Amino acid sequence: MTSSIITQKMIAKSLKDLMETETFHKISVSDIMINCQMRRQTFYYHFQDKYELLGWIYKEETKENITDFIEYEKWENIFNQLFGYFYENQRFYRNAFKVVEQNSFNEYLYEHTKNLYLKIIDELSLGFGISVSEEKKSLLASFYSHGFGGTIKDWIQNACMINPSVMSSLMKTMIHDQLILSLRQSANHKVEKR
Amino acid sequence: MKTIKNDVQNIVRDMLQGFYFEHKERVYYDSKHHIIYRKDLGDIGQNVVLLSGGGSGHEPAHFGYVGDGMLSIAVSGPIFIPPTPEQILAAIRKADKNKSVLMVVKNFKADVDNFLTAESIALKEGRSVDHILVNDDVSIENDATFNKRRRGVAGTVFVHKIVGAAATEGFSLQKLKEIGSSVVSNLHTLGVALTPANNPTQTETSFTLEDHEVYFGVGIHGEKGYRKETFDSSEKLAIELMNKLKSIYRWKKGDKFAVLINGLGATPLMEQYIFSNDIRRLTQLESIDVRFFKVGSHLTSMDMKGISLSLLKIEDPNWEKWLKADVRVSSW
Repeated sequence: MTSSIITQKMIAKSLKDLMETETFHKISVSDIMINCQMRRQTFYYHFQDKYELLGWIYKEETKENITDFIEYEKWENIFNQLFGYFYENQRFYRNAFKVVEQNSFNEYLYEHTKNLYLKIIDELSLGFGISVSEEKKSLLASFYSHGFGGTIKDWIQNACMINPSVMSSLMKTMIHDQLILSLRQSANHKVEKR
Repeated sequence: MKTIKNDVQNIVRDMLQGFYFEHKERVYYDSKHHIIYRKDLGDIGQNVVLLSGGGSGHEPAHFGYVGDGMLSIAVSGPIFIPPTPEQILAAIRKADKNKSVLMVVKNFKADVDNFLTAESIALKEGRSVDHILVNDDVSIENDATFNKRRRGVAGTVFVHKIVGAAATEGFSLQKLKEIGSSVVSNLHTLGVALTPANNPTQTETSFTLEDHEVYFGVGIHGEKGYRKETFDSSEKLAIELMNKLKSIYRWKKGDKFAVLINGLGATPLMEQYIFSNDIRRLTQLESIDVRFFKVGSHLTSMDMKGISLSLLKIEDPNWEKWLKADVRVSSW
């Protein structure tokens, strides 16, 4: 049987629904497949085990919500959307972060937010007429992506107490102001070295 | 590139003559102004006559929707060029002077300019004329703003159908305009091209694609899209288009929608239905309630291979009723 990404999404949704009320460790492959009314065997056409499925959700949903929007949407709107997504899925993620055997969340979120930060740096540096080396861009994007990942995780762990739109706004201002400062300093530094 | 044509200059005329010959039992053809209109236009019961049109190359739009329950008059320009104000005025004048005319116009600058010029002349003649601008295209402008392009594309056909059916119930010009405008504000379309369109009046296509590539967000005249990527599967095309529309609607479980899957000209029905099946599964996954589902090449871009997805969030149960109402046109 060939693999279907929509079938994978259906299986993923089933697991996510179950994780709203049950811990990951108590959920079996049979539970997942009964919940989405598919044959148990279908699970194994698409995933080795439930840990692989959890990693797939991290990978697919961070890609679909971040990288796939980079050429379609303003970066400010991508942040809004991303905080909205995590807010809606907070129970799943709080539950999922307890799964020590599958901790690829940081890795995938980092990969895709780094793409987003690279876009932001490009746009801001272009808008302010500042030239930044590729190395510097990568370093800045990496720094902010690690910060973003940690902030998201803390926010989810703390029951998303701060409103997602406030979070998004804070992050946007922080990124904008600090990046401009860093970029200007980088540019000045570059000039001084010459 | 081989295409079935004679003199390039006569493409539109030859096509309309052929269409008229097929449907002469129920339509007239004004060969001077390239207008197809209902034979019974003089004695239709409704207060408002629905008129649409635009450049050719989008067949069956718009003459394929002329008939009882949809358009009364369609006017065709050259390939990808809107009809002139003179042509549009001639189309308006097909209606009795005591009837109102509502024009459905796709939101392209040249189209809007020509239709509104004709409208202002007709108003000075003492006619009752108004328009609805359709702007369902949610691809992005070809600049750094990421603003949505908001041209009029395939969703226009839903406007024809809903307002056309409503017109048969005797609504006023003002009320029909309100219905149409309300539909437009809940209507969004996004497409993907597998090949560019070959325009016989141009030597080059408006964009190029490698054999393995698809191009998301292209317009119906070959306007640039937002991303090229390697083709993988129909499922991935469906997911990309659905995710983008989802970001616009931010739908909730149980929201009601009408769906139009539109072949862009050279997409076999088999492929359109495969894509439709993927959209069916994704709407199920999203728990949205699909009340109406239409598949086919309804508003095309010459021989472009590709597909567009239009969603209409149904805010008024009448819209569903009007979409499902019987109609007597060649291409619904």
